[in-house]
Amino acid sequence: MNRCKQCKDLFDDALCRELNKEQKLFFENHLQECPKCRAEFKKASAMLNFMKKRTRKDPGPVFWDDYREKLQDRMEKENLLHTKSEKKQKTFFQFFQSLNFSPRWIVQAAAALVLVVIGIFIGREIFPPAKNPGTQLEPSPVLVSGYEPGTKLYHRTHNFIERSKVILLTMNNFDPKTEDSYVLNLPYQQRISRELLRQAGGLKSQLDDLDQRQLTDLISDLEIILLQVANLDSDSDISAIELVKNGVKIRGILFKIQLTDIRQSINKKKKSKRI
Amino acid sequence: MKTDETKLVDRICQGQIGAFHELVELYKKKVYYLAYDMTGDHHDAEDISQEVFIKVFRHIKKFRKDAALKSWIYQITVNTCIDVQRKKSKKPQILMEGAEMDSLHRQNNWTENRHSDPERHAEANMIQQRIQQLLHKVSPKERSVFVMRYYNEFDTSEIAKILDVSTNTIKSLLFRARKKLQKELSFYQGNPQMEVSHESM
Repeated sequence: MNRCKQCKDLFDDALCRELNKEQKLFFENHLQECPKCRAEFKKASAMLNFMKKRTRKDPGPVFWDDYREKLQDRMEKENLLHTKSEKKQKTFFQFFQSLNFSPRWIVQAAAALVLVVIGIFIGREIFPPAKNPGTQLEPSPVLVSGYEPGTKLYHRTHNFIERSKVILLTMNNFDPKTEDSYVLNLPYQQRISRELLRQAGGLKSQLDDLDQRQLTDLISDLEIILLQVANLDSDSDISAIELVKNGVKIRGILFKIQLTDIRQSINKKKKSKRI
Repeated sequence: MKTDETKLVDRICQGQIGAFHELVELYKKKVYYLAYDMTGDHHDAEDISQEVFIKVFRHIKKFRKDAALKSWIYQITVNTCIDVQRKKSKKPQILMEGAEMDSLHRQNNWTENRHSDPERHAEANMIQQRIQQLLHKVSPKERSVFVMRYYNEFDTSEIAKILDVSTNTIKSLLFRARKKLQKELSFYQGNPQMEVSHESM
């Protein structure tokens, strides 16, 4: 009985012809002695012979050639093949993961410090510290030379342009069809114009020395208009007023004044930042 | 010293798609035929084999490099086949009938040239169909062991590794599969095709 069990244990190896010499000898001897085991092995062997008649169809070279392409299509459909940007993102993330800092508290402290610095910077930008009037550092106009915010020349030029602008706007906005000429208060305008004309010469020579070409040109243009205003004959000289308005328009003086204002405000900001 | 397979796995882990293509070229036929042996259907085998490579690509980083790549791939193949067949068995279908039968007929047409005699051709087709039916009479696990041992000529220890069980379990599964098939084939007794030759020992 024990030999039958031993024999049956060897069935599989015998069917696959994997018995060694010793096993084969024992197996063959036992089959000759034991009709039961012989019959059983015969059945198993017959079954396997039949099952091995099974054939496989080779799908052909076209199938194998297209195999990888089909697989790749399927992988792309399943989003397994990442785009380049996704790969880059992944690599970037992996780079940080690979920086294996230890101990961990150093990283945490550094991160906290960075956050505090960023916080201070943002705080300063959004809420600048209030200026203490006692310690205001704005320089006295007299002490500063040249043409820049805070200088005497700057204030005088600015004042000149502003006053001229008022006269020009008054003349420009006057509509003879709907308004009477007395609203212009022409004698007053003429007096101011003469006063400004007196200042113009000095300003021009000082600005010219400092190479302020644009301002010198603007003052020259204003001089012409102010001269026209100063020389108006009477309130009722509508054609002369129209001539002044045309002069302002043709020379684009109001536009030039606006540009100068913008430049000056920019310079002012720059200076206050420097302080 | 790293083996070629370990190097290949390393390259795939580094994201080299070319290395993955190499692996596909190395194993595509083996995986396809094992799946075909398990299912008996060309389309299922193609689908399963692709599924296997997708799983390999997804889980390659989990692969233990001390294990054999071949065993790991076959393990995935067998498990995928069993899963697919389990899902299929839940759907009502009659084995070897209708479209499946036609498919098998078409697949077996390659033997046509061998058998100019139409009778022999018909008989060969019938044998193929019968074998396929018989393979589906055993459980998926028994079938996987049977096809690996007798159609793919793996030794029992190799199959044990692939299925992660002992050699004794494999022997037992083989024994059960053989018994079931013998029982199914009992009506063939006396048929000259079933006669055993002593050369088979």
